[in-house]
Amino acid sequence: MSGTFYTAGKIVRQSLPLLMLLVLLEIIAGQFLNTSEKILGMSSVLMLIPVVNGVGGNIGSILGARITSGLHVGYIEPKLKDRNLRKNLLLSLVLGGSVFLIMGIIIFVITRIMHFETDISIWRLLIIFLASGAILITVLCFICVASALYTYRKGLDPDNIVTPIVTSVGDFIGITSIMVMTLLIGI
Amino acid sequence: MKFWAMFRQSFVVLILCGIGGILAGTVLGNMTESLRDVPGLIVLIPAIIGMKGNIFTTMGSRLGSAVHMGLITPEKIFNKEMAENVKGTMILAVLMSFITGVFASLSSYLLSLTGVVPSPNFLAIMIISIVATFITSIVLIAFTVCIVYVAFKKGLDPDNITGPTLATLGDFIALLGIFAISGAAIYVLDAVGVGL
Repeated sequence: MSGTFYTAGKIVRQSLPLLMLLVLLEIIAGQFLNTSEKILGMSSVLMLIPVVNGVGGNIGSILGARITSGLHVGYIEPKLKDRNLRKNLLLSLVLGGSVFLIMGIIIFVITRIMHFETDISIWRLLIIFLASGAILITVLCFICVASALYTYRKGLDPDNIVTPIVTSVGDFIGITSIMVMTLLIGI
Repeated sequence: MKFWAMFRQSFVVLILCGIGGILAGTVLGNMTESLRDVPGLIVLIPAIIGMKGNIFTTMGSRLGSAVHMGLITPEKIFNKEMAENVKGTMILAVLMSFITGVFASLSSYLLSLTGVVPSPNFLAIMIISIVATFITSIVLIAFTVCIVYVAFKKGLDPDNITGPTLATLGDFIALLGIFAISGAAIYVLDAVGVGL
């Protein structure tokens, strides 16, 4: 024993099982992409993936952190009807909607100024982006609330569980919605 | 806290993270050639980016807690606690890169039997997963430690800085690593005559 508070062994043992489970979700998301040779060749659709997943995952993490802190401090009660819980949920939905709109405008401006050739029309690309963002944010916020309440009621510390779950599930939903939207309107 | 105050606080960070996402997206958008040359490579991408997020944000938050608990102090930032954290993170990253490579190529192989995906290149996928993760992990560990150090020197709470910074630049660094290593792997495997 090294006599330190943190030990490499403890860090690995506590993280590895959850990481292995979550990487499977990411692999399934990757396999979805793997089935469509068309999408793998579409630069501008691929470009959307890190943006949608990054912003979605962060909105979920912020909501998760707020709810779990609220539960710990006691200003949120672990039930769906709680007023502060609903306020935080609404905040995340409004936040998500606004950030995706602004990012859509930024993507539009960048492609116009830099004269990027998009493989599909910029309008279709923006519709894919905004629609997948809307689906992701809505589903993810509800998953976030559900997993925070569930882990808290089970007596587990939601801090260790909610963020990893929300980001990995978020990647999965983000990629799936981009794929579905692209197949629906992009090609 | 007031609704709009909460909104403003998160809004700027999220826009920055979105711009980081565009940077990362530009790298991914330029990878179509590698994605075509190495069947199954795409499967690694969400997995490596996702794992990077999970491994390094937890490292960042542990270091933040260590600062708050006084285990790491400005005079002794590179002490035993830091060493254990770096070691633990590196072991996790290496183990996960191996597991990710195995899961990715095995699932691709099984699915290719049904014909829905192309049959994967085991060797290329294992090499890219392990080498790309190893190199980007070293960069990201150095990056995370630097953020904690700088936040510390400036008197800021590392908890508020590591998360957003990693969210903004982490995906970009990870994708750049995969981009460079997959390009190099294709070149080397081609040169030694292992068919792709």
